[in-house]
Amino acid sequence: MDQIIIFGIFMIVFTSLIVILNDRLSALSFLGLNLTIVALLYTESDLISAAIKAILGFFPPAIIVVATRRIKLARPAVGKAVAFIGIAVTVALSYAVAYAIRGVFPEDRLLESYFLIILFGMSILIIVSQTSIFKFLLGVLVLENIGTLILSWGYNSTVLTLIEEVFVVLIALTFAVIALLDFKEYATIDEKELTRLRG
Amino acid sequence: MYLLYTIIIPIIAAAICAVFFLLGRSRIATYIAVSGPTLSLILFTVSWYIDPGEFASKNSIAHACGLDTVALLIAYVVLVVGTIITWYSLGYIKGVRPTYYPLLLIIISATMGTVLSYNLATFYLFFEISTLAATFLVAYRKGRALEAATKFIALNSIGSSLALLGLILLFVNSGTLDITALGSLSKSSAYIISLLLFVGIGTKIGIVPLHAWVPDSYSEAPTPVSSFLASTVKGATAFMLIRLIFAVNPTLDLVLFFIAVTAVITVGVGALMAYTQKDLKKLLAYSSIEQAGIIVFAIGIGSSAAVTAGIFHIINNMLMKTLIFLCAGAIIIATKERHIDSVSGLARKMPVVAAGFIIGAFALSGIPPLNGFLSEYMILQASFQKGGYYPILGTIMLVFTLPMFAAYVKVFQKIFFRVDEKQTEKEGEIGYLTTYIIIPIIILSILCILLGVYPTPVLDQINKISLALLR
Repeated sequence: MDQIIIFGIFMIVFTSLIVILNDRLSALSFLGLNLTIVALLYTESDLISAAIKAILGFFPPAIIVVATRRIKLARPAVGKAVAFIGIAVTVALSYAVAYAIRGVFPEDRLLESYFLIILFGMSILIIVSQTSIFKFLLGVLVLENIGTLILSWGYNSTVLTLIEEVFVVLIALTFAVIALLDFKEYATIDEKELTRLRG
Repeated sequence: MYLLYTIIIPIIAAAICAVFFLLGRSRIATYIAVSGPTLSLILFTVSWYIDPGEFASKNSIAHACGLDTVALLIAYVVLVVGTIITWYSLGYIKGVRPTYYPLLLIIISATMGTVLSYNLATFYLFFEISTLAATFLVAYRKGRALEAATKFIALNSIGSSLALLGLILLFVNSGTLDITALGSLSKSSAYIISLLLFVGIGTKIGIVPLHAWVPDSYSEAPTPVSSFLASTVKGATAFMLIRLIFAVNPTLDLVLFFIAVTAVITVGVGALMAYTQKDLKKLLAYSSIEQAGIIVFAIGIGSSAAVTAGIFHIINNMLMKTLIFLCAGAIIIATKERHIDSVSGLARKMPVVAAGFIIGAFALSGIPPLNGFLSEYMILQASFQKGGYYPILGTIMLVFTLPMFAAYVKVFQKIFFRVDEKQTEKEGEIGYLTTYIIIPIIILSILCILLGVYPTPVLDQINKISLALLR
């Protein structure tokens, strides 16, 4: 139980850093999140999933770091103070939601479920509070990580884990290519500054 | 086994095509590209016609449980439309870049795979492949298309992630990846899973308020790509939403009602926004949002009759939406204009396109005896049979479709019959349309009429699946 709490706190800290830091450092925070998940999978004795995550989980942050070296970084959309308040409110709200729907969670995974709901809330915060294409990507990747964590709950799901992780890499690659093309065309990857087509 | 080949052949063709493009043999590469889906279509048709039982039972993708025939039917329509738009591309895309045809073939295969998946993992695999391939196809023209592609990948990957969460929870709760073997879930789990699936998969269908990517992507992508995304990819995804939602629990009244209300709002937003558009492709993009709403409304009703009507409308939408997009493409390529007010009096110059456009527009508006009429009427009828709030929602939806019909009439009148002195001078500049563009329009027009006047064989097959899904 203590182990779950420690891992859970690490995951919340890393996702919070994604909200606060710039794109490049956020990618490193995401690597930290991935390593935490690898450690968690290892303690769950899901060695194959841990190995898959350890190998493929390295690529998305690496892709982002490489891509951000070629472009001017987008400015964080919100100031640090606002980000801290946002994180605190998100964690509190997510906890409240998790408490309200606790009946849905498996009884032997109650604590993990709370952390997953908080992680879900954090990923939504990353997606809605940022304007950089890479921050969108990181928000999406945190969502995908929730799937990996659920799969680790003792199910024979190596195929699904492998497919998911391969697509996480491909999604990161697609985002990076689009971001580089955007930067070449518009000299920015900030969604607010990109030409609006009024969809 | 043959069915697996029909998915693999376009992928192999994509690989060979890419190699020839890299070698600088673009003409050969193009012909390899069109031969891929054509060969696949021939194989599909012949093997299904010669021995349908053998064809359906021996493959490792489609599965028993009454789902086969309709999944095969939809996959067949996907392949027919895919083949048509690949041929159409020959006449439409000038100076093609090496990525176009390989990505197009990949997305055709992935869409077929999505429809034929009976396994949650393979469904996710094909679902994601089609999203990623579509991103680069939307970005094909660069410039403004890049912003459209950014919106496309940002919103669709959020949708995919939510759908993945739904699929994983479905797997965790039922203990199997086999869609046909999913047991009934507890009500609370079913609520969460069906909402995640609806929001996740619904993003790719373009339901409101997750539709922001649709107008930009469909208007900025090359027309053959827009038509494939708006008709077949959307239809295939909607079909999988039906399979998954009803596999979770077919009696979730609250979720179904939520889906129905969202669908009616989607129809309203799509139709009203379409009416205000001056850009032909953007108008059609909004009309595809309206059509998505009609399909999703059938899911929201949730009765066997509604599911039958919904699946029939998916097939119809694949044909009529492709038809109208290809007609729009023909207008754009002939006049080099896409602004509705910039072209006029084309009926005399382009009679086949005018006929195709009016058939497509009337079919989409639900005018008899075209295919769209029957499926839209069936959906409306199912809403009245269901009772409760559904007749009111059905009536509101019907009212909401009126601006869409008005928009089609306005466009048709302006583009084909309006006489504009300034435009008359430009008439001589109208480009020649090749048979690659004309023949697909004729084929799709015939199919729209045929399914309207003789829908029985298709409806019989769909009826079986609807009863199986809601058993």
